[in-house]
Amino acid sequence: MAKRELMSGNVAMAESAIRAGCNFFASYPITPQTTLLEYMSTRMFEVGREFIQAESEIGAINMVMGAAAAGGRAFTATAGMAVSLMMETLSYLCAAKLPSVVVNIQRTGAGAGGITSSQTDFHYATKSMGHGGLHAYVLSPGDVQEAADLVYDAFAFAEKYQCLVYILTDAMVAQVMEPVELKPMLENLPVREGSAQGSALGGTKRINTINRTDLRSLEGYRSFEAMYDTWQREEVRYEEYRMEDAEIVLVATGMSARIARGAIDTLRAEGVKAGMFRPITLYPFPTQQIRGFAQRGIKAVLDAEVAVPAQMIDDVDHALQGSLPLYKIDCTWNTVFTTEDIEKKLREVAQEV
Amino acid sequence: MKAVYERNPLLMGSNKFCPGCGHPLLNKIIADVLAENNWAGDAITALCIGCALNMTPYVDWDLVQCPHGRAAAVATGIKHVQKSKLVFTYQGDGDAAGIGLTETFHAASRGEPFTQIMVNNQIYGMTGGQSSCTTLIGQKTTTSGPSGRDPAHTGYPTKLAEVIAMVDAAGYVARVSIHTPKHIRQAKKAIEKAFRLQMEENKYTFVEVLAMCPTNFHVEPWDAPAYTEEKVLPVFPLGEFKTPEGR
Amino acid sequence: MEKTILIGGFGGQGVQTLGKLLAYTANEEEKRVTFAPAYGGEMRGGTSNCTVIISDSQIGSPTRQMLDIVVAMNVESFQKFEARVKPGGLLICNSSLVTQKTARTDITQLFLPANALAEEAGSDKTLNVVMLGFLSARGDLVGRSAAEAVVAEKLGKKEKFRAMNEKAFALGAAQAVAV
Repeated sequence: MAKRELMSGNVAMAESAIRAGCNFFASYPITPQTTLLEYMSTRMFEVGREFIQAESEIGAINMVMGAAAAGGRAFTATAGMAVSLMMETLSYLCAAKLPSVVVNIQRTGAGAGGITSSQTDFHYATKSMGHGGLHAYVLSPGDVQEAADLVYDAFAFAEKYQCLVYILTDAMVAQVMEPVELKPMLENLPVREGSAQGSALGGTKRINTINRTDLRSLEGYRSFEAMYDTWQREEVRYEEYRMEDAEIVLVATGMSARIARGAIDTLRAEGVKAGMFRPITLYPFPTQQIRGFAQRGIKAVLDAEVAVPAQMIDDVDHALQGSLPLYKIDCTWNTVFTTEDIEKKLREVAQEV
Repeated sequence: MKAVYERNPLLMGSNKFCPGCGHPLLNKIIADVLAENNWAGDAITALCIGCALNMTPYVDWDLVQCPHGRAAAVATGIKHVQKSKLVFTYQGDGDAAGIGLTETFHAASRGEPFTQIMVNNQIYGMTGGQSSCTTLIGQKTTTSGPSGRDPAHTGYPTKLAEVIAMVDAAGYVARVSIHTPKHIRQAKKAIEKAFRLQMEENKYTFVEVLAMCPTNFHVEPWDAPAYTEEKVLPVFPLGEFKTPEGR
Repeated sequence: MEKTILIGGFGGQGVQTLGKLLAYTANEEEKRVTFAPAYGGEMRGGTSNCTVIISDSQIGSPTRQMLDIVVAMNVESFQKFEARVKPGGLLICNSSLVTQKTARTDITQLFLPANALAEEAGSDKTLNVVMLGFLSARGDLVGRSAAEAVVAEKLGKKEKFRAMNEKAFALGAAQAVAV
């Protein structure tokens, strides 16, 4: 094994993007994303790539759109409320099938919100990428290593499906430092065909224009639908932790899963058959996998998330279709649940089933 | 037989603009500048939302249609990835000076080496003639009220060329018109100069083009040049506001 | 085997740096490790803290309610975090600022005059290096020589700072042996 470097999730995601071939980054400062932006501000110049600190998140995401349209491997990162500023163009990126990668480090709450870590953008990220009802491929890393790996793979995925990849993470991943093994630097990547690189008279590229009836039509939207069906069949990712003979399964992602992991171990030591199911793709959601719980001898499901009202629980509920009792433990703002809180809740659930 | 005039092959078929509209004329001017300088194969346009997007099926070079107002940011991204290419925005006044002023201003401030072309017809044309930030005092629109734009309520027309000329990093800023053959020749020269300064000297350049919208000026197409001369030019003076040689 | 440690102090005491130095050392020793800075309002002024977890196996939550070791660099941290030491755990206090004895009988309290030793080393900015010397010399968290190497690599490389840090580290380590 190569030597692992100690780095924060922000730095690991930034460096992984560069190694995956990201050649354009535009962004605007917002806590807790700033160390990612700062890292890119020096590192992109070191490797001869393009970096812009934009005038706003609106500017940043539209620069990303231009870079992607022109064949660049474009990337931006932001947090919480600033995603709202990007939403119009995120919709455009999906509609125009422009490969690009966006990181959202979630912040607590609505409006001005707070800067504590949270999971309050689940619905926002998974239900419709802005107006129009199209989707990004939404990923939720569980720790710094996985954040690095998911960002690295995101660029190839975006190119493969000509789509937006949206990393929905939190400050627990972004700011915590852990040893990370980074993947190698990709070199001499080809410029994507079909991008606007200057051409005319027959070879002309029209990106997102009104005469693109291949995308702007019923058939076009059926093709988006078909792509999402393919994702649901082939691109769902999740982790099962101590699920082999589990009777009580905790469903959690990102920081909640991290906090809960120790609780599973504790409950196992107490003789309770507890396990954890951690969705890594939030869109497509692992609906079929959760729907199959009842056939595996699982007796109850506990949804854990840092969002009030809870959000992911709607997708878990939709997946279960009433086949198993569903419990929840949720929190927000300054009262993030602890491993001990989750242990207590799991014991309560174990008593009831 | 010697051809005395040939259709520019960069212009395809007919267009959907209204009679007397400035856009198809300006599309032709740009197409001619591209063809004459052999730039067509290098051109990438960041196209705005509004009447301007009817240019899409009419011209035959690379186009990227942008969210409303964001053409300058999109062009920034394009130019950073395609540094040797001729990148220019094509935007209306509502797009570049209204909803997109921030993106316009900061692209100029950073000195991004592309060209912004703002087509100023003092109106939101595509949506049916609502007031724009450039609407003239007294001009009647569907949102101005019956007596036209009143400065007591909505202030005065935005003069973007003059504003951009104050930006240090702007390399060339001009306002031109296309209502007479003489003005068309001047406009063509200004656009060519803006493109050349971008390509050869890496300058941010800005050209505001006064265009006619007879439909929403409520005049006949043949009366639109006189309307421009009498009503528009006194408010929006023509000229080069900033050149590399000095103001 | 997992060790959890929380370090609390106020801005300027190098609390975050101490946590990172511990984490870098653990990484050099090829252990699993997490460093979690306290974020939120606590980042600006007032109390600053961080949590470091060092383990042989996969680490769950990088923050914990109860900890094996709490380092209180100032009085506020002593008051805030004293209750979060696990029974049988260790509460290490910077006795230059914290002199109060804990009322708890189920934990061990140690005193280290970190500011005084840092000044003896040449600058009270070396407070965190004194503490790292102390923590690593105890041997159950990270190794002393690995920690010394990390200090040399990550902190000031100028001869003046290097010598100062070496002295600070040694002064802290000597206290651990004395305890």
